[in-house]
Amino acid sequence: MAEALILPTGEAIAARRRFLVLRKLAHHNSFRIGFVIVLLMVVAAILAPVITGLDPTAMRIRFRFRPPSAEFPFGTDQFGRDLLTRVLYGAQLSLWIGLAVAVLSAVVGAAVGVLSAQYRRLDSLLMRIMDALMAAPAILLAIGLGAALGPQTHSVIIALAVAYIPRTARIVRASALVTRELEFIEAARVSGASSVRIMFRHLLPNATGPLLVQSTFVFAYAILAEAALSFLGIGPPPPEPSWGNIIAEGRDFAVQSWWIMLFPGIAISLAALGMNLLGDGLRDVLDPRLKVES
Amino acid sequence: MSTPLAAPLLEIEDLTVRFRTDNGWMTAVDHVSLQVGEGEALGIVGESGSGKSVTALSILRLHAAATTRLPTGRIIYGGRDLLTLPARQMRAIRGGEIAMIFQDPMSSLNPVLTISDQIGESLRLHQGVDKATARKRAIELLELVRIPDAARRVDEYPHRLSGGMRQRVMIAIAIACRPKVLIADEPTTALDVTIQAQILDLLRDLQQELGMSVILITHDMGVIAEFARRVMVMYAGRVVETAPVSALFRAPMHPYTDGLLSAIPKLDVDVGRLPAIPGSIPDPTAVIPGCRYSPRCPMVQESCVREAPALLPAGPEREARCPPRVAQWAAARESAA
Amino acid sequence: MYRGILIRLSQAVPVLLIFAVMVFMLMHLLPGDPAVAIAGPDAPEEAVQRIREQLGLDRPLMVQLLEWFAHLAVGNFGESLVLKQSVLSAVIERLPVTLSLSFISLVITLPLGIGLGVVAAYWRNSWIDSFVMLTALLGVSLPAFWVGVLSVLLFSVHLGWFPPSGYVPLSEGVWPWFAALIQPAVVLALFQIGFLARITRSAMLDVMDQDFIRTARAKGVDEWTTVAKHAFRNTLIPVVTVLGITLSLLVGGSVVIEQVFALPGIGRLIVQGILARDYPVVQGTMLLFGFAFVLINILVDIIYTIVDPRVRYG
Repeated sequence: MAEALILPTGEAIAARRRFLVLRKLAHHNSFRIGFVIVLLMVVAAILAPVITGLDPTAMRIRFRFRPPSAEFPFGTDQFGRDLLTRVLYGAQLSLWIGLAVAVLSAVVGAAVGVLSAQYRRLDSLLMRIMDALMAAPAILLAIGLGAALGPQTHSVIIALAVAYIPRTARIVRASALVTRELEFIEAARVSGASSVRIMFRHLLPNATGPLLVQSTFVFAYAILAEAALSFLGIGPPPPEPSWGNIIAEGRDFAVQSWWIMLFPGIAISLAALGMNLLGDGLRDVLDPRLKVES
Repeated sequence: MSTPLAAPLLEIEDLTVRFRTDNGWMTAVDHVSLQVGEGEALGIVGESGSGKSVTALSILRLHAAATTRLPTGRIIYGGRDLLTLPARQMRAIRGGEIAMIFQDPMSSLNPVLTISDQIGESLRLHQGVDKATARKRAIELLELVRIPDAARRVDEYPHRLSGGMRQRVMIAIAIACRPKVLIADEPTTALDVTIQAQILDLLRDLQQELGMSVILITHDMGVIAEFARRVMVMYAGRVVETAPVSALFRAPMHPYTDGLLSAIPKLDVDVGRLPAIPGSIPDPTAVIPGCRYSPRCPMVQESCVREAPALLPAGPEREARCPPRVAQWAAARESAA
Repeated sequence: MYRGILIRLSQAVPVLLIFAVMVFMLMHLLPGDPAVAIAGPDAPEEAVQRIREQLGLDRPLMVQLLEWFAHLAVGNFGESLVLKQSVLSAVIERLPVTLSLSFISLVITLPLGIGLGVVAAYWRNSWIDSFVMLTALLGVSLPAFWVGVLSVLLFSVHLGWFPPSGYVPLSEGVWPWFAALIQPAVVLALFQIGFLARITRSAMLDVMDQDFIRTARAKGVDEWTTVAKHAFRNTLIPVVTVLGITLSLLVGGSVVIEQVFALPGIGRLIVQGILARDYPVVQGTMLLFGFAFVLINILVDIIYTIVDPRVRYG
């Protein structure tokens, strides 16, 4: 009871703030464009079987290396597979990977960040480990882990997530440390709130803004990174298409059949662009002074 | 038109400044006129949102260009209209002839440049002195504004100085080139009370020593009483009263001035609770047909709400925008005559 | 100041230790046996086992780890399992390539990235701002290696302006060296420029809104000096803090770009080492990366104290 009086945001005030935030987002240009782009891609990915009736892995050697045409809007690859179909199905996989990496790094990163901020003894240990993970460039760590875990979809997800957890953790920790210094935390503690309660009811909710912004950028980077990993031979294995492995397979035929590489690359760029715009919008609305590390 | 002074040094004629906000255009300054004589101390007083700061910023054309429509009216200095002056000549006037100090000394100084550099910049810009001379003069200026250990301080960075000292540095920068006019926008508001008194003393002494005109902007009537000879009261973008300070304190002629004066805590009278003016300033984008103060005025009449009152002469160097009160004064003078 | 550096170095030691152990564990997680790869697919089991013993791969992991540390202590980074040379010499051979690439890329990135950000901020909300920010957005959204391949298609294959791949050492002439590196360097720089431009714009906008900018104008300082002297130096402060990240992104990007353009640099060394299960090479090189990163961070900290007088001691 005493805690409820001391907290600056009651339930009603929090709800109204959320509504105001949503309204601001709806008016923000970058956010709107990004949201539309991402929405269209997600819908296209989900509706892939409806849009094209073809099987992305079906090889029809008769139709190999066809340039873009009415019958094959994106052309065909070296096995005669329709590229439009492959890119659409690839969207399913690549977007899924992006989402999984973003969510995983957000969850684990938030846990690490909040725990470090709350328990000072854990802080040194956790932050040392995070620093160690950041001592190598993210992509390098992902390459190593990805190779270690084998060429499968989940290896890529775990590898990229591990590479981004320290960066997310740092952001959540920074936010949590600031929140901790605010007076109402002192008041909550004095009125008997346990550490766990403080973490869940105060530190975590106040960090959702920066966390959300960071996660959208992680999503964008994961899509780009998955492509790079597939290009290096570490990633979702054929024949299931991902945007990255379509490019990887098409590299050898780049000179004569440029369309194999072009369209998945455009798809990747579009998805990353959409997510970046989304992230910009979120950042401007949730905290205009946030300096984001991607 | 305001009461004419003999040969004013700086004159603002019918200035109107409008800003674009999320809710539409707002008039921050509405047909404001004022005059400052040579060596005179003029105070501009009003609450937040009265337009006093915007008026001051307009003199040096320092308002944010992006959201401001070009101000209408004239600001006459040295026979020229500052509002239409070409940029290069305006820059020569800024700091050289008319200088300004601002409210928050903590953020008004550049954190990555030394004190010497920041004072010296003014000197090098307007007087073309070299770096070594500039530094020497900077030390002299720091001593003039009463900063102890000036020779050491001059090479330091602003973050090493307290708020009061930073404000002194701001003053030193402002008077470096012996300007004719110093505009001080709430110079003591962000400082401790004891430091406030010191800064005001310093400003007063400097004003007399250098023969500068000073325009002091504040919301604090106490500061006006200490410092200014004449005062202009602003409300919601309009001038509501102008008078010599002693006359104003003795016999105010606008209900708003009454409110401001009664809010000053007095040592000798126990008023119980300090009276506050009920209500708040009007929405700046709203257009009010009659007197802007009428919603809060304790003596409002029907004529006040119907038509906007004009600024009426009310004695030597006095004007007031309250027909009922001016009429009262005129009647009293009649009967005394 | 030197004390500060020593303190930071000593703080970095536990981090590097954890990092080294992580890399070691990572390598031994890799499926596939290097002994088999070396012996060949048809070699009999005894031959493979002999190679294993020779390379010390059959001993318990802890022992291998401690042995590695012991060697490191005297500066021995081990021998490559695949290439016939020590890890150190393999790295030294390839260092010039990666350094050249990074150098040219950095020279392009820093002025363009920061400059574009400043321009966009100064003319905020104008078409200049929109254009610059759109370009920056594209920079961080386009996959670098894809742009690289397309660039080779256009500029090397189609137009024949630059070589499509390979490295030309400086000793063979400045122009050939430069011509071979310019494409990969530009492609590499795209992401960094976009990243820096966005951050710089944001920092500059914050600075331009500060009171001391108004003070400068009130003194009669002209626009150019206001921006270049008063605003820019303050903008650098937050930008310097992301310098370390920018460099890390640069190095990461170069790993992939070296593959695309077949540049025999350290990035390529690592990737091939990972794919070939060449433990010593990967462990040694990663460790060197980590150490270099620590040094870079310390350097960035020093630059930061130069740029921001509030952070200096005394």
